[in-house]
Amino acid sequence: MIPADRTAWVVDLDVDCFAKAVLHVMAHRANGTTLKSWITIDRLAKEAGMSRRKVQSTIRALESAGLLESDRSSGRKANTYRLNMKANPAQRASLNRAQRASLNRAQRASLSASNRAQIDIQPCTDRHPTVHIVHPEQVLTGIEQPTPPAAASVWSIAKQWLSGGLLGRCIRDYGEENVAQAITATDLKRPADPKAYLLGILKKTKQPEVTRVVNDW
Amino acid sequence: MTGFERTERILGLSVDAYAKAMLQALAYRADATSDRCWPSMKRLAGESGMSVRKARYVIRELQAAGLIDEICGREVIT
Repeated sequence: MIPADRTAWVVDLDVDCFAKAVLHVMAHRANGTTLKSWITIDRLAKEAGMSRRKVQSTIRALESAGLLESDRSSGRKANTYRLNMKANPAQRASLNRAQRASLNRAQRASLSASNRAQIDIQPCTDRHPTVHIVHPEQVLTGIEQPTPPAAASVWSIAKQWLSGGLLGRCIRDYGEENVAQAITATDLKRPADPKAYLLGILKKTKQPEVTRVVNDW
Repeated sequence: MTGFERTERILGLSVDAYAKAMLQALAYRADATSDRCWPSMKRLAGESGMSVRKARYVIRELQAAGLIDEICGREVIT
């Protein structure tokens, strides 16, 4: 693979500028076939124009996003980083948007229709869940209402919208049951901004514990 | 200048991450012979991973540093 392809991949990604700066360095230095680069943090920091600390935290973020695989097992000074060009959140996100748009259109068109297509929601198959339309030709005529997700998958759905910390805080403040119900409601409704919608439901259902104590006083 | 040479030069510069991401985005769009490109601010911001406001600010800084020239809306990397 020629460097221009890798640069194109980095440019098209939907990540912040720090991640892009780091990825550009790795893409430039990577081996053409294995996509592996062998580079120290110091060098990354210099060539990406940021501090060593920021480079480290960016690499960790990229790893958890699945864009980068690193190998620290060699015990040498430089780690090996492999660009995971198959994982492309930018492309997947746009795919999801397009699919969701077609879903919404179908929902509007088919509230009274009896002909139903099957929708297969796969919440936890990978890091970037996608909605698969099993019979796309039937979607325009009618669809089944999405079924409420199972209890275990509720949390994995919520992870798409909220960070783990925020989710934990919500559970602590509003109770596990309320949060699960709110997530199910949000999943069925599929609003444009699920995070805001979810937090809105939670605020409506119950005041956080802390505020209630203060009010009692 | 080829894309490879351009990237090599950008990596060698001592500017911050915002400027590097912006230069890479510009270099990706730049023409090989004239080093010119005509991207919109929105596209530049998207491809460098920052907001349009920040992108405008970074472009102004790069101009002040003499790394790019702007001629009636077109960017020239020097």
